[in-house]
Amino acid sequence: MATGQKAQTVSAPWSILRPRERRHKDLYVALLFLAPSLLGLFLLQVLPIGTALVLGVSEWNIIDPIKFVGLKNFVEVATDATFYHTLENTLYITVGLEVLNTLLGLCAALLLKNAMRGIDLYRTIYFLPLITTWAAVAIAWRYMYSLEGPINAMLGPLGIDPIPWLSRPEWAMPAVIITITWKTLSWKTIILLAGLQSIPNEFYEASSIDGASKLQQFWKITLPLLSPAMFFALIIGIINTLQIFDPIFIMTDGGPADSTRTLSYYIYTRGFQNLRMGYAAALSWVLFAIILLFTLVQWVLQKRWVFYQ
Amino acid sequence: MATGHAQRTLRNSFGLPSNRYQMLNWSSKALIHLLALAGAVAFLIPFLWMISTSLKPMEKIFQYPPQWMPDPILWRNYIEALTVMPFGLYFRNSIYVTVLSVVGQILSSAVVAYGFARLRFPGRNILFIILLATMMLPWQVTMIPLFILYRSLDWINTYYPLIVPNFLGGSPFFIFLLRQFFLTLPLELDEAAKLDGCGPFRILWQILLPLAIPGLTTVAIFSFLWNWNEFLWPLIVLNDVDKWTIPLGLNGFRDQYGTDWNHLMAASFVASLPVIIIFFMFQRYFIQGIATTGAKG
Repeated sequence: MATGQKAQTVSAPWSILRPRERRHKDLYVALLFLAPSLLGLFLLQVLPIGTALVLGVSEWNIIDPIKFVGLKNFVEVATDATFYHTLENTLYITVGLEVLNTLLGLCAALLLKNAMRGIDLYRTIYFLPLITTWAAVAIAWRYMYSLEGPINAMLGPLGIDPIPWLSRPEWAMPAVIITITWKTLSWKTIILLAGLQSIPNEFYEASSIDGASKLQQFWKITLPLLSPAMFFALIIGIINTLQIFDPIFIMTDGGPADSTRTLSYYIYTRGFQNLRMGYAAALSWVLFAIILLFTLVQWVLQKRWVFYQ
Repeated sequence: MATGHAQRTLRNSFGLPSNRYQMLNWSSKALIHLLALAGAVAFLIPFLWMISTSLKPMEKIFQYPPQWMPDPILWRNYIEALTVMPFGLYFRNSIYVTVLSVVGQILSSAVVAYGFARLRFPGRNILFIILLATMMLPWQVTMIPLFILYRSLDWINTYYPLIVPNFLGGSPFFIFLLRQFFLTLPLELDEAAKLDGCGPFRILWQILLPLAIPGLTTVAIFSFLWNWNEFLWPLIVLNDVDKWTIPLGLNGFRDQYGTDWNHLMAASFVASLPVIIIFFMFQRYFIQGIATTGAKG
């Protein structure tokens, strides 16, 4: 009885209030719960976005007073050869990585979909690179790519002369793409595997009764029904790749001869090494525009190939 | 086709093995295993090489043909690698930053996710969409202003810029993940608790959170991996060598002893161990988390 009464006094403000007061009360409670996020949204997103907009049209080296320069930064971007070069590199990585990751990820997902003995062990091994610190991975691959290193030692018996992986501009980018593929492939695989597992088995059963071959099933059932998952993985994958930084910084330092310098690395260099905060902010807006453009183009193109049930 | 099918059923009805099909089945299974094995080898080799090299003497690192088994095995490479740079300190720094960040992300994303899943207020959906939309914004855009913000607070070269943001809502991924999780829990639980006089905080704390442990575990795993592996942000805000986290320490080690491969491999391997162990223990949550939200690894 006593506890019942106590509970009632506690609950009273909640249940006995008139509807309008209750709505107010609800709003206060909601505000309280969302406070961390609202604060974060303001301090970590809205405020920085505003600052970045101001910086984009300013010149500032952190020490001297900030100076408004209008669109000068963007004009400079438009005529900056290094910018175009890093943009080219970024697109090279993005396209190379997406092609490799999609093809190999599809193969890996198809393999892992088959319930076979030892599947758990295979899966664990496949996902190991994804969780490992980039710093460790990049250092290990630096070693593996060295001229007398393990990769060239393995290629030797196949009659391939040692390849100067990280020391020649034409080889550095393929080397970087191979490493990033090795590390991120299982991310693609997980998403495609989840897509594969959501395809109802009845489709395969029905079509095999109708005499469809495995290959026909793949083209007519698996690929169309997997296309939403592929689309999702493509959008997120490209957003992530366009921002790639860690492996470049640790593995090649953007070199040799700027051949692997990406846009995000260029932003870092301009901002934190040359202390040209305004120019770096302008570059970051260009990166954002590129991400937006990629996403929009894919969104429009999805009608052509993504199949929703 | 029709005759083939008839033949097969005819043979099967006599209990005879339909050899051709069994052979096909067997060989396709073998092929699948072989391919899966090839994939596993490709994923494992860099790790095996890392371990093998970490135990070799310097002069045998580029031996041709390469040897898998180090001979002699130099365990002291590990001691040397971990003492030439203060890796003990880096570990402590990393653990400090990571643990506080994980706690912050779990607490704040759970509270916010509850708000989005259970409380009704005007503009809820719009706010949720805005929150998710911020994931589209590249980190490079907010990175510079945030650096300036923390600099004006005199927080550069402290751990606050690494930890405090995690208490402010964590990541939209986590809010999304936990919100979805809360939505699967029956609303009757909340209503029953409310009738018993529970306020919203107690409903969340005592009723929903214990039921959401799988979701919270997923958040914890990702949070741990991301914070432990984070490179660019600590690189920007931490200047002092003593403040470095593990990834920065590794990078600094590479910077100074660029071709000291055996020691570099030893340090890299030790630095990866915590995440590898965590992954072995909780990989199910990790894989589910990516499959449902597309969170990057």
